Amino acid sequence: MIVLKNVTKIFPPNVIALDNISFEIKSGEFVLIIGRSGAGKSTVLRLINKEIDPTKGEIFYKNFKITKISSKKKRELRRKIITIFQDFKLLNKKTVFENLSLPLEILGKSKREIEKEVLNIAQKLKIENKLNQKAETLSGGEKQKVCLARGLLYNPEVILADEPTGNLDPLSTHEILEILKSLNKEGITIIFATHNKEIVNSLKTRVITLDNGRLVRDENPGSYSIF
Amino acid sequence: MRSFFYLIKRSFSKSFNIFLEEGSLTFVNLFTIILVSLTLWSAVYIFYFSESLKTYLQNRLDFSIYFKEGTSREEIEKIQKILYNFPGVKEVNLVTQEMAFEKLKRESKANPIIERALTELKSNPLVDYLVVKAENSEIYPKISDYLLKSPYSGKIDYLSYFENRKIIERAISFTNNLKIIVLGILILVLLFSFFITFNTLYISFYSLKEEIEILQLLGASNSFIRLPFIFYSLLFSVIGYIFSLGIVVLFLEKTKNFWPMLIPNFSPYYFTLENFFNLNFLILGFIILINTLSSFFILQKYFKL
Repeated sequence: MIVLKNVTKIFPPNVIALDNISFEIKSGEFVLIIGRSGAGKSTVLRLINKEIDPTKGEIFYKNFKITKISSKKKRELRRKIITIFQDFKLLNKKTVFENLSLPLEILGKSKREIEKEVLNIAQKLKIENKLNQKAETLSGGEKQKVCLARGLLYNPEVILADEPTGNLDPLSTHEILEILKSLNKEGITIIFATHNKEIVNSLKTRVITLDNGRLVRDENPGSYSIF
Repeated sequence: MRSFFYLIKRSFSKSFNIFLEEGSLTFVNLFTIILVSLTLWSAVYIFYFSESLKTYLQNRLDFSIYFKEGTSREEIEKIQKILYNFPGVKEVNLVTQEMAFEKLKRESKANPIIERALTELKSNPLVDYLVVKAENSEIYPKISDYLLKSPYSGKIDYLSYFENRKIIERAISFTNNLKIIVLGILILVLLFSFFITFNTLYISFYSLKEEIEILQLLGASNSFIRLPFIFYSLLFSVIGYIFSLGIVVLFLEKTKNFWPMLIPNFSPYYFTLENFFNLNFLILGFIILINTLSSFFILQKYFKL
């Protein structure tokens, strides 16, 4: 589904973030990308999401080369591949409802459709009683749920999770992981970047290890434990 | 088509939200627009003042052509006709000796000695002369040159141009300098307006950078992100302009009688009334233009939209 082929990313002036890495992620997989800070985890996710372009190499999504695509295709891609972040990226001054409305407004849905779909997703993630609250008043776990719900409104095929539990307490971390696992069971591909050893050990899934921008290990489910 | 209207409707509503929610930003933007509008209005009035002053000075300028004894009225009328067709000449009036005498009597009413002397005169000592008014002061030396080189030069006794020459030359130099000064002020005002608007908008948009980035991450189209900001800048431009117009109208109303005392034909109040639509169209149009262009430029250059 997602293929990275000999991808190198160099940031100016000459910082090598990724050095000739290649791997393939199949549809429905739950993949962990691990490594120390600066190993290149976020760069991989940003490349897949077309936030940045590789310096060398090619990236494919469903056999379609996304390294050079039009702005329109890029927008479409971002509705199929959504990202959740450690810092949530919510509009803090807006209510949860307003935050969740955004993707539906982008899709041009009517007010009635927006109300209906927002309520549905909020119920699914158990945040329906938070809809009228401003995002800044929510706890970290609730914010991450809103961030996830906002992306799910696009019915995505892939979720890129960039250290989504980095700012969360263990309980909220567990809750978010459970939601991601259940979404994965529904068929959504999850690519999860983390350096949290408990998550790595508890998930028993495929792990890609990066070190200084190089892919040093790509292990299959259940056979990985470095900690 | 439906999505186009949806986009416009949403952008309008969103721009109102930004206007109300971003209170301090909106205040700064409104203040900037009021400042820029007032500066533009001032530039218009400085321009109008310079034109009024020029007209006033030129209306006060004329020169007279006096003829030698024995020049017939027919000959004077012929010269009047020639001068009337001279490029840049506005009026050529013949003042007959009778008219000149009546005028002198009228003007001497306050002086009983001259008045008595005039009544005692048995014949009219005055002569016919022509009074020439030109469209601008630069024409006078040309007329004078022409007359002195023409076949009628022998009929001319003297030209008052040589008496008024210094005043006329000073008026020419003053109005020319005034043109340059006013043009300079206008260019400075336009540059200042653009600079201040651009920077205020840049700061405004920068403070909403996070929102722009989130929308980009969510795959919103450029127009979806850009339009509310463009409409927002239009909104505070129009509202700020209305405020500034209120200030201008109030100022004009309060000083309505003052300005004509300074220069008789300078009345900003009536000038504004007569050109109300054109002036508003021009100033508001300029403000909207620089705001929209600045918004496009900032969003494209700094936010890659």
